[in-house]
Amino acid sequence: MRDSSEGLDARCVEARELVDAYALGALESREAAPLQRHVSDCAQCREELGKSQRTAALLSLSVRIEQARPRLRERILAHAEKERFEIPGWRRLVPSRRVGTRAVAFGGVVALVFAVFLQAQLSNLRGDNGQLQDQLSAASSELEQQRQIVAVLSAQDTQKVAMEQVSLRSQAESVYNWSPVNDAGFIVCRNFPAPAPGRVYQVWFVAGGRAEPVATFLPQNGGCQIPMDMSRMNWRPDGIGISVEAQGGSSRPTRPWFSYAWFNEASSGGGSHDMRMGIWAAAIGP
Amino acid sequence: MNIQDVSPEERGNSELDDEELMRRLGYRDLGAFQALYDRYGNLVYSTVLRILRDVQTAEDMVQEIFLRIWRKPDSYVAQRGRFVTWLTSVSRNRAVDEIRSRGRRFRYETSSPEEQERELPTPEINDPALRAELADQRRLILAALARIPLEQRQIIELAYFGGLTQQEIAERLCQPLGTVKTRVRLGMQKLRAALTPEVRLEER
Repeated sequence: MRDSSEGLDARCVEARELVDAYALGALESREAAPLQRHVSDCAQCREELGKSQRTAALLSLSVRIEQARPRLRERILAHAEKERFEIPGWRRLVPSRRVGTRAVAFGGVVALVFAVFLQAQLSNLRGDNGQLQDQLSAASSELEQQRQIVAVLSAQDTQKVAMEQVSLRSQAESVYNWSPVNDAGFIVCRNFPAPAPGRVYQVWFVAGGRAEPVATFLPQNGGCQIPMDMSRMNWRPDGIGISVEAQGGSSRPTRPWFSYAWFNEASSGGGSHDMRMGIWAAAIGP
Repeated sequence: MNIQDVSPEERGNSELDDEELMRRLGYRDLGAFQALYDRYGNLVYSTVLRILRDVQTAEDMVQEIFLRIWRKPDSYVAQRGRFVTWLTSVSRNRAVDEIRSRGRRFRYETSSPEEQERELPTPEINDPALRAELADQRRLILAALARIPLEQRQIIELAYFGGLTQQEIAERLCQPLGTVKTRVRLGMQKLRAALTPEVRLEER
């Protein structure tokens, strides 16, 4: 370890001592959170963590293969068959890079057509007098939002994370897409129940014990598209959450998450449960 | 469900690679899902069974893991690594979450790589090429583990398959926390060095 720490600053040395334990899921959550924050800003330590995680992942392949009972296969396939057309594929709603360029292009074209439509609407509105100012403002805002969504959809580095829904009974689904190059992202959601009168959904970025409000929204027919401009953010969030708050939004989350995502969960070698609970704790607060 | 319920074009799914099968899940291709289960069902089952040590709980978890993939195929991002290691990592993490949520009622015991090696070969995976590839990798990983001192290997396995933190391992083994941390680092360094070609294979 001594050799590999030469030339590194103190934070990197500390991080290098933790990456192996993190990859094995052996860190306490209080140790994991600072490491997560450090690797999000340090490419070299991120690479070291990646090597440890890839090594740890290979351990799974060392298990002795046991034969599962055939009835388990029948049970799982029967469930899948039953659900086959109950859950529309996300790709129809949110094209991703893995779908291929055609699907991404389709998504971009749809959003662009809508943007052009809004632009035309905007031009028409400008021709009228000031009584249409509110509509003009709303259309302008929607146009900007669509431009952001197009930018994210068409970016080569677009990434996406399916958000967890806290309620097991909920049919709600939401996906967070973001493009580091564009410093922008957006959430799409479906089957979100209408909140109680006087309440709205509020989106938060979360890191450690900190939660910053991003946007409030009311779903339209259960759906939403919430763009987020991150170009002015001077910190990197570890996760994103949606809670139900009073109309107008809150300065900090006052209710448990309705849905959330931990950005590094999929690639994390372990500790996901603790991380999720960490975000939960941040949401409900002391 | 009978195999007859699957359309003829879906029956050809067994020849497709993992990434293509996952892509097809997005289009609700039941044949692709069936092919993935046939390919990796026993591996996932074996991974969670090793951690949970209970057949019924392991079966329930295998069902949960596969149906989660069926419902949210986008949770796998091909650029981050091979599907098989992603799937087994997800399975391991989910099983560890389960034992943590149950307050560690399960007891985890390690067996030596030599003992595990003697248990070979038992893979019952339909695809002969995949079966051979996974068996080769398993031998390499067990050989790498066998070269690590017992006290380091034990700690690595307690963390990865037992779901214990370093602090918990120190308490369980009555060792100083600093000793446990050092053994984790040394053991993982040796493992990483011994598995360098395999680790590179995971890179995309």
